[in-house]
Amino acid sequence: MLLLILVSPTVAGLSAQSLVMHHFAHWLWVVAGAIVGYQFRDLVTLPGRTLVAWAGLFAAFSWHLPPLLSWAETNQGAHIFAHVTLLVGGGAMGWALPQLSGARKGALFIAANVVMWPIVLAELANAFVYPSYPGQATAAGIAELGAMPLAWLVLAFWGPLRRGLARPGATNAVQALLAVAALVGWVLPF
Amino acid sequence: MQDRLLLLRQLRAQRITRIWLVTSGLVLLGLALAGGSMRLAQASGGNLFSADLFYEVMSVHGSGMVVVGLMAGAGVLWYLVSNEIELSVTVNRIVFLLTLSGLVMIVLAVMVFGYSSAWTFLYPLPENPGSGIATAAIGAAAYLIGLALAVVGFLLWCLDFLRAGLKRCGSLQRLLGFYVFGSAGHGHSGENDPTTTNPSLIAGTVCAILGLSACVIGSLIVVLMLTSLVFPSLTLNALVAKNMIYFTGHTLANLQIYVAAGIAYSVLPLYTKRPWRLSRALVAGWLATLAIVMLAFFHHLYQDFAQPEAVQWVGNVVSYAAAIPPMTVTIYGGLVLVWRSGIRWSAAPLFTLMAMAGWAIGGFGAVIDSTISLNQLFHNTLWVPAHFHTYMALGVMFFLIGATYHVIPKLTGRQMKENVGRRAAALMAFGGYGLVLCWYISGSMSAPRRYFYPLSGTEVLAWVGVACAAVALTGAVMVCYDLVDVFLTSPHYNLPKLAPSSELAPSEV
Amino acid sequence: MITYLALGIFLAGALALGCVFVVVSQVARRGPTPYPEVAGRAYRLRLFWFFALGGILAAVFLTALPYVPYANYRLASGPAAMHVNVAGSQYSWRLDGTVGTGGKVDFAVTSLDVNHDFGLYDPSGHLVGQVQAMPGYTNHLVLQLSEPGDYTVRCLEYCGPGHSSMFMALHVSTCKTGCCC
Repeated sequence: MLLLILVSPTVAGLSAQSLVMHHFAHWLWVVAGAIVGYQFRDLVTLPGRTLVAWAGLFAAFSWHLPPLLSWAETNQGAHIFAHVTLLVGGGAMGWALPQLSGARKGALFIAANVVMWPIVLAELANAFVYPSYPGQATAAGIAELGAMPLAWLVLAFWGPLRRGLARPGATNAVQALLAVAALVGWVLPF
Repeated sequence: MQDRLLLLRQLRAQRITRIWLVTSGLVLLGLALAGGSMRLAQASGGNLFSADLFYEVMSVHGSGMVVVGLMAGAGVLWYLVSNEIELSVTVNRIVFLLTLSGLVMIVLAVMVFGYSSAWTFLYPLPENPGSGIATAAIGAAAYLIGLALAVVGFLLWCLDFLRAGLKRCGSLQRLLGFYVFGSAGHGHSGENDPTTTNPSLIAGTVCAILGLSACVIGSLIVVLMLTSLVFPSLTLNALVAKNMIYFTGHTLANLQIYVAAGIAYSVLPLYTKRPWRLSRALVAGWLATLAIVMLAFFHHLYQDFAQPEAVQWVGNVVSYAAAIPPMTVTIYGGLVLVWRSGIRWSAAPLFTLMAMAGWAIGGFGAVIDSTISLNQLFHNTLWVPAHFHTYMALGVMFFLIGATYHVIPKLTGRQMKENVGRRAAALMAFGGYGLVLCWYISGSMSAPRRYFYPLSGTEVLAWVGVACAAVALTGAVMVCYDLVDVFLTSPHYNLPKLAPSSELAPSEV
Repeated sequence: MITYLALGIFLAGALALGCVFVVVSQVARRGPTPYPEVAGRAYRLRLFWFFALGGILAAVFLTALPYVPYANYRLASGPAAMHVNVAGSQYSWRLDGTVGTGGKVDFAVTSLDVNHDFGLYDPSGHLVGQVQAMPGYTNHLVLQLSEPGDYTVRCLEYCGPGHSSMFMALHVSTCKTGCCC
C-alpha cells in the first residue's frame, strides 16, 4: 500500500515541487522497504544479519553524501537507482534488525544519528545544492531538524507505541488511512 | 580465578587513572600559568611578550585546555563507572597516548614552528597566518595533525564507552533509562538488576554520542584543511568550514561540563549518603541535552549574516533551552541532594558544589550573550572569555578537582590534605570570580577579546585581573603540589592484603 | 547603554545565585533529614521552577526579537541613505563611502584574505554594531548612527598577530548623505 502511494502521480508531483516532500518520500521508501524485509525475517535464514543491517543503513544514507547527492539530483537514471537502493537498504534493515541483540540495534541507531545530525546541520546551513529546488534547502533542513528528535522520542516510547499500534482498532485505522491515501494519490489530478 | 582477574582489572584501571590524573593535573596547571602570563602580558600593554609569542601562548592555552579538560574528565568518569561497565583498559591506554601525542604535536606546532592561529583555527587563517614566520605552514600542518590525534583519541573513548554500556544494559533504551517512562517514574525496580542504568552512565552515553558526531566532523574538517594546505588550489567555502569548526569546537568544549556532571552524579551522593536516583526528569533532561548540544553551536555564527536566518533563530532558541536541563535537573538536583543532609564540607563535595555554582553563573552569562541582539554588542568582546572561564575554570575545573579529592584515596590509599584543599578552594573562588568579574565589566565596556593590550579605559581592570589570576593560580599550585606529593609518596597500588597464591607480579598489571 | 544594563542584570543574577548556593551550603550541614521528605517538597517546587524559567526565557526572547541586526529587519522601515563598501585584510580596513547621522548606513563588508570582523565603536569607545568580514561573502550591516564625531573601526575576529593593530578612524558627519558638500 505504501509503495503504491509512493509511486502515485500526486506524490511524484508534490515531490517535484517541494524538497521537504521529496525527502519525506525518500524516508518512506526506506520504511516501505523495511516493512517488506520484515515479512521475510523468519522465512529467509542467512548468516551475517549484523553485516546486512549495517549495509542497509549505509545504502540508505549514502545518497545524502554530496557527491552522490549531486549525481542523483542531475541524472534521472541515478535518481531511480537511488530509490531502488533506498528500498533495498530498508529491506535489508527490516529483515536483519528483528533478530539482532538490543546492543547491536543500539549501535546502529547511534551510527545513524552520528551521520544524520551533521547532514541535517549542513542542509540547514545551505551547504548542499539542489538545482531543482532553489532556496528550499533550509526549509528541508528545518523539517529534518524536527524529525531527528522525533526519532529519539519514538525510541524512548517504542514499547507503548508498539502496543498501541498493535491493537485492532489502531491497525484498522492505519490501514484505512493508507487505502485512502493510495486512492487520493492515484485519483487526484496533479 | 575470577576474583584474581577482577583484581587485575581493577589494578590496571587504577594505574591508568593515576597516570591520567597526575599528567592532566600538571598539564592543566602549566596551561593555567600560561594563561596567567597572557593576562600579565596584556595588562603590561604589550611590553612583556611580542605579539607573535602572545598569540602562540594563546593558541596553546586554548587548545590544551579544551583537549585536556575534556580528556581528564573523561578519564575520571571512566574510572568511576569502570566497576559497572566493562570498559577496556587497553583502549584507555591508547586514548591516553593519542591525547598526549596530540598535545605534544600542538605544543611543537606552536612553540617550534610558530603556529598562532588560535584553537579555533578558522579557515583560511592557518594557511594565511599573517605572522611572517617562515615555518608557519609546517606549524599549521603539525597543529592540525595534533588536533586530529586528540580527536581520534576521544572518538575511541566514546566508542568504547558505548560498547561497554550497551553490553551491560542490553539496549540503547535501557542504557539511556527510557524504562522510567513506563514504570512508576523512578528506576527503583530491580536495584540489583545488572542491566539497569544510572545517572553517570546516562551522562556518559549522551556525551559519547555527541562526541562521536563532533569527532567525525572534526576529523573531516582537519583532513580538508590539511589537504588545502598541501594543495593550495583546493579552496574551501569559508562559511561551511566555519560551521564545521564551531560544531566540533563548541561541542567538544561544551561536553566538558556534561562529562563533569556525570562525575558529580557519582561523587556527591557518597558525601550526602543519599542516592542520586534515576527519574523521568533526569532521563528527559539528558534526552533534551542530546538535541540541544547538537544545535547550540549556531550561536557562534550570529554575526555571520550570510548564514541562513533560520539557523540563527535555531541557535538562539536552543541556547536558551540549554539552560533548562542543568537548572532543573543536575544543579537543582545537587542542591536538593545536599539540603539538610548533615554533610561535612570536605574538599570533594565543596569543590563539587562550587562547580555547580560556576556552571549556573557562567551559564547565565552565556544566555545573555546568546541573545542575538545583545550578541551584536558582546560578540568577541571580553564578555566571551568571562563567560567561558566562569563555566570552565570555575565550573569544569572545580568538578575535576572535587573528583580528584574523591578518587585519590581509592587510587593511593592516602588522602590529600583537607586543609590545603579548603584554603585552595577559597583562593581559587576569590581569585577566579575576581578575574572573570574584570572581564565581564571590560566586556560591557566593549573591550575586544584576543587583544594584545587593554583597550583604553580598561587598564586598571586588566591589572586587577592579573592580581586575581595570581591569587587563583596560587590555589591551583597548592592543589597540584599536594597531588604530586601524594603520588610520589604513596605505594604503587591500593591493594587489600592478598593471600600469597593471589599475589600478582608487577608485570601482570 | 544596553551593555551596562545587561551587566547589571547579570551581576544581580550572579549574586542571587551565589546567595542561593551559600544558603544551601549552610542549611546542608543541618540534619540529616530523611531524603524522601526533602525530595518530595523539592520536586513539587521544581515543576513551578521549570515553568517559571521557561517563561522568563520566552519573555526575554520575545523582548529582544525586534532588535536583531539582520539587514532585512533593519531595512524594513526604509532603505539605507548611505552605502559604504568595506574590505578587511591583514591588517587594515579599506572603506569606500562617507557616513553621516541623517539616515541608515549600509556597510557592505567583505574580506580579502581571512575572517575579520567589522566592529564600529562610537566616539565614547562603545561598540555600536559589528558583522563578520568573510572571504567570498559580502555581509550587510545596517546602522542608524545618532552621534556625529570620530568613530573607530576595529577588527573583532582574531586574524593573526597584527589583529590588535587593525583599526582605523571613521568620521561621521551630521549630514544625511555623509558628506556636507
